[in-house]
This record gives sequence, structure tokens and C-alpha cells, in this order.
Amino acid sequence: MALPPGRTAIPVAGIEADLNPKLAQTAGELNAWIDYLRQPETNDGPRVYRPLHPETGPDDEDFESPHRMPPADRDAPYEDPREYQTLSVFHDLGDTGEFFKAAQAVSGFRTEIIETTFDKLTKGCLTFENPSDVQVGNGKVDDPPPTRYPEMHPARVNWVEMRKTWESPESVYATKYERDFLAYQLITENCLYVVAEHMVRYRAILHKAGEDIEVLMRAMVDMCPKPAPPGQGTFNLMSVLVTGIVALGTTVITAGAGGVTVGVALSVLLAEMLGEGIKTAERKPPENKLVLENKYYLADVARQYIEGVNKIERDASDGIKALFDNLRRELDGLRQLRSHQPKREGTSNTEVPFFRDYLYR
Amino acid sequence: MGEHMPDQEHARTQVYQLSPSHMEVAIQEFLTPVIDRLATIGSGFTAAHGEVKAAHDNETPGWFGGEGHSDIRFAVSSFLNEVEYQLSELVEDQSQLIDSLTNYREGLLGHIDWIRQTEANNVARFQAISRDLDELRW
Repeated sequence: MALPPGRTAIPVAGIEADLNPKLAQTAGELNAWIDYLRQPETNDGPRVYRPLHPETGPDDEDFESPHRMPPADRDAPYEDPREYQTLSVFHDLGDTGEFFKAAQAVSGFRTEIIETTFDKLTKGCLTFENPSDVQVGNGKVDDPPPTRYPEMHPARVNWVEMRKTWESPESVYATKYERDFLAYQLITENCLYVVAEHMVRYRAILHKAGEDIEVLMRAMVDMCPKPAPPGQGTFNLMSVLVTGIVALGTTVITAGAGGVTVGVALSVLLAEMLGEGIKTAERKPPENKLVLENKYYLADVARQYIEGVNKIERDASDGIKALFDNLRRELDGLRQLRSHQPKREGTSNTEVPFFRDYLYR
Repeated sequence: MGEHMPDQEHARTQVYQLSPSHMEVAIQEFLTPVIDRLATIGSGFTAAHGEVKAAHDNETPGWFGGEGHSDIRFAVSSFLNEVEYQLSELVEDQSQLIDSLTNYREGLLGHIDWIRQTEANNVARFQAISRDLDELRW
């Protein structure tokens, strides 16, 4: 039973159907249930009966019923010293906006907006292979630095060909300059791909958090009608801990058709990272158990639900903070590889190499 | 261009060999396309940096989600601030790399000009000597 009897979904502000259709649908259903359960006088659904004279009868505690019990209704024509006040199952829950805050926090992110920026970062020069870039000659050249995205462009060899008729000390300095220039450019392109990789993880963390929140929300919706006796029908699901996504690998450029290197779309990487990427990850991300126990009081189930989704929100926040540190650490490591020494007797530096700094000893 | 030219001291003491036409064509074939490609991707990086900066400064919807308990918004803001900073550094690096390679090309073309000029001067000198010898012969 997705919706309360005779009710329709009530959309939740900030959870848009075009961006998060599944989450928006489930949130709409949960919102309808909350509205229904908060007005037990309008329906026959779950409710709490509170004894008004506990000293006169055997019942001295609130009891929750999955449906209306006419003999216990205070307004029923029933002469009984035991009188009950009918309450909403959520009467002591406080702000019901808490049901949706975590979901709202992970909603509203637009992959297509982030993707337009991401695309610009996944266009390289030396890291790209294109059949129109023909390599000439077989001159002996230094190996490029070992980067995750390797040098594919033939410039290193072609520039030897370019200078082959040039015999002078300047040509020797040019050899050194070209070597350092190409290394610097290669590493810079790799740095930009690292930024792009972190954008994928950023989007993936928020997407995964949204999925997990939806799963718990769906479990909450399913428990609203109190379909099973307490203790039965507890919801359990293992899921990847969203903070584990920080360490998941992704590859932002790849060999396309005809030997042309292309940038991979963010949406494709996102699906890969959250599907096969998780299964085949070198370092398996830790798992997180999503639990919702079927308790006696629905309000206690709701409290556990709110605690669960708020934890997912906090985990997502922690994951994004970890991305911040991870990005800086990875880039710092790459930048150290850019160190070069223009003159044999000179000092090393990590500035962009210029030919003038290599000329003459 | 002049900074890459052999100075007078070196020019006097060092032997140069260079095929100007070979190197000129090779520059056009192998160096200029790389500079052009770097300029193209550099424009993309610059645009990407501007987009991230605008997203951070304006808390642009799409990059930012809803309010929630605010934790995620703060985290996203910090993350985008870091991305913006890193991209600004990398965009500057890329810009300097383009300048560096453009500068290098100018240096190589400068050598070609210098060789051509030297050869032209030598030819003129030999022709002058030849003329002098011819005159002496008369």
C-alpha cells in the first residue's frame, strides 16, 4: 500500500520530480501518510489510544492500534469507565519537516549543469591520441613521466625531427627544454583530470545519498499502515557507505572509435561508479546497513527513520569534506613531479619552464 | 625574439648548422598545431574555472542542493571553493605553458632568421670579394 486509503501524494517542496523522480514520488507518498496519520479523526487508520483514567482500569499506557477501535473511541456511544483520548501516532514527534530535511539536502543537484563544466576539463593535448597526429622519425627521446593518464601525442618524437638539421649548443638546450616542457604539460593535464575525477565523486556521493535516503523512506512508507505485528517485517539492506566513494576509482578519458581519445560523459561515469565500479573497485568501499525496525509505536519507527536519513546526510557531508582534502593531496603529489632543473649547475624549481632559462651555462 | 638569438660572444665562437626551410616547415607541422591545441583546451579550462567560481559565489542551484540541516551546503561550498582555487592555479599554469611554447617557437624562428641573415651576409661578402678579385684581375 503506497498511499493511504483515498489519498493522493502530497509533493514535498525542494524534492523535484524532474531531478529525483523516485525520491519525489516516495516523498510525496510519505507526506500523504504523515498528513493522514496526523488526523486520525478523519480516517480509520493507525492511531494511539491514551487512557484518560488509568487509575480505574487495567490500561495505564498509551496503546497503538493499526486501525480505529470503535469501543475505545471517546466519542462512541459506549458506557465505559475506561475512556480514551485518540491521538495521532505522531503526536509527540515534533516537527514533521524532519522527515524530509535530509532528502531536501541531497536534492536539486543537476548532473547536466555540472557536466558542461566537467566536459571542458576532460580535453587534453598530450594525453589525447588522434590518428591525424602522425609521428615522424624514430629519434631517441626521454620517457615521459609515469602519469595515470599517459602521453599519447607524438610531439616528443616529432620535435626531435623538427630540430634534426640544427646543430648548435642551443639545440642541446632545446632538447632539455622540450623534455621539461612536455613533462610539465603532461602533469598539468593529469591535474585537470584529477579535478574532473573529484567532480564525478562529488556527484556520486550526493546521488548515492539520495538513493539510500529513498530506500529508507520507502521502508518508512511501507510501515505506515502497520502491516505487520511489532518485531516482524523489519527492513534491512546493505549499502555502500557514501564516504567510501571518495576512494573509488574512475577514468575520465578513454580511447574512442577510430583511435581517437575522448572525454567520458559525467553521467556515464556516475552510472559506472555506482554500479560496476563499486563491484570491481580495487579497494571495496565499506558497507553501511540501512535498518528500519518495526517497533510497537510508529513514532519510534519514525525516530529511527529520521536518525537513519540524517546520518546519511551527515555521511554525505563528511564524504564531500574528505573530497576536499583528497583533491588537494592528489594535486600536491602530482605537482611535485613537475620539479625540473633548467641549468646543470642551477637550482631546481616547479615553475613553468621557459626556453630562455635553459640557454647557456 | 632577441633573447633566444646567439649573443655576439657565442656567435663568434660556435658553429651553427641549420636548414632553415626544413625547420620552418617542421615548426609549421609539428609545433604550431600543438600550440593551437593548447590554446583551444586552455580556453575550455578558463571557461570551466569561471563556471565553478560563479557556482560557488552564487550558490547556483544545480551545483547546490536544498537546505537540509545545512551540513551538505557548507561542505559543497568548501569543496567548490577548493576546486575553484585549484582550477585558477591550473589555468594560470596552462596559460604560461602556452606562452612558453609560443615563445619557444619565436626563438626557433629567430634562429632561422639569424641563419638566413648570416648566410645572406656571407654571400654578399663573398660576392664583394669576388668583385674585388675580378677588378684586380683587370
